[in-house]
Amino acid sequence: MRAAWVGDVAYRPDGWEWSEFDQNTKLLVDATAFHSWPVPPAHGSLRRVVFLLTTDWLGAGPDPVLAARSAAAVGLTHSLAALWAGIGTTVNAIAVPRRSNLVTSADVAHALRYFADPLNGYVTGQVLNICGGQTLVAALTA
Amino acid sequence: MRVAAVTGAGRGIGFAIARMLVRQGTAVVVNDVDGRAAHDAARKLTNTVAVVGNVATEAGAKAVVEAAVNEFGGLDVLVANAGFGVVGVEVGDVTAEDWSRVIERNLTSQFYCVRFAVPVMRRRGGGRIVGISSRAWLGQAGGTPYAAAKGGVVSLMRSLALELAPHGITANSVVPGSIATPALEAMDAKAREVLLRAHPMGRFGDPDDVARAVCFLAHPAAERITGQTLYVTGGRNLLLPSRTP
Ligand SMILES: NC(=O)c1ccc[n+]([C@@H]2O[C@H](COP(=O)([O-])OP(=O)(O)OC[C@H]3O[C@@H](n4cnc5c(N)ncnc54)[C@H](O)[C@@H]3O)[C@@H](O)[C@H]2O)c1
Repeated sequence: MRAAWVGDVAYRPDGWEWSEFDQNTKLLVDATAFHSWPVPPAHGSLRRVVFLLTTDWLGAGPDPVLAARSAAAVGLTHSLAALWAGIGTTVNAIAVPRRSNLVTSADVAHALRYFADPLNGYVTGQVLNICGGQTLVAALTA
Repeated sequence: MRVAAVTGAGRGIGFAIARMLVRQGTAVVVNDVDGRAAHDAARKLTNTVAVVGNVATEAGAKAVVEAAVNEFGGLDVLVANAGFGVVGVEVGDVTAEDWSRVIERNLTSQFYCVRFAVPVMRRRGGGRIVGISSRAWLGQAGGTPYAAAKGGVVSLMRSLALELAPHGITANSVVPGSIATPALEAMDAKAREVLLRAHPMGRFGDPDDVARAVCFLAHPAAERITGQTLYVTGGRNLLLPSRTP
């Protein structure tokens, strides 16, 4: 499957490259239907959608606006997943801590490859935090 | 070579997990309490050893980890999959024996395996633990002991994630929804139809869907993914309760 990139996430033949992640939500979709976003995908055109966001959706005391923006992307992930499940399009999200050198592009690449896998059609609406366990008890909510 | 142990791998989801791990070049200890199932499964796959035993006992769990060490020199991946579901019993009718049996087989078994696996993984400098939970953990009318046990699995994995992070060991839960195993196929047609309607994808999952999730988390590259709960439910957990039987 081919894929496109928005913002700082780029696709290379040898994997996903991730550079200078900031607080903006990134959207990663199949290239064949990318231009038609956010129009609902037709059968067979858009199979895998992956949002990249920050773990601020769990709550960010110093920056509530950032938390709200991140949480909005989570709501979008869940809702689009439910909306498009019937046509076989999966919608998932990867959340990483902001400004942390704990998580690397290789970590994100591994998860992107999993969610973008054409065979991986039964996992949808998942928000996967890649945080080395950091958010498990430190978050404002479970 | 990477070494994995999969409990309850004689059939169903556990067998699919063992098969996918083997295809990825992992040596696998295939455990099942059903001796014939364990041996048949191990025979169908290369680079495996069968260990017959009940992992809801300390001796059974210990034997699984010992086999990994004795046959393959260590253990990198533990997949605690053995379990069974019980539904359709109102809480007032759940006996103390039923409760204990369901908790032992679905939750205590995972704890036993983890307890023996962790020292071996620590000696190895890291590892991956994957506990198979169930969508029932979100709450299931008529399934109180099973749901509580599977919720216990999620909580167990989160605690292990925090405790074992300094040792390079990750722990995550995989949450299957309705997976097309023989038990599900054997349901009567009408009940099956009702259940299917609760699935936004209009189909049940395949054991390989669960196996793919397990292999993703068990991979060396998943070193910073820990304490997570990965749903393999075809989106069923996203539906409003009113639409879920
Ligand atoms: N099939 C589903 O739809 C589904 C949904 C949610 C969760 N799960 C969970 O996935 C896991 C596997 O389910 P399955 O559908 O493949 O079940 P299954 O009954 O087809 O296979 C389970 C295997 O585990 C073995 N086993 C059971 N208890 C054991 C023990 N104490 N020690 C050793 N072996 C034992 C059984 O003999 C059997 O071979 C279970 O934990 C189950 O609760 C399954």
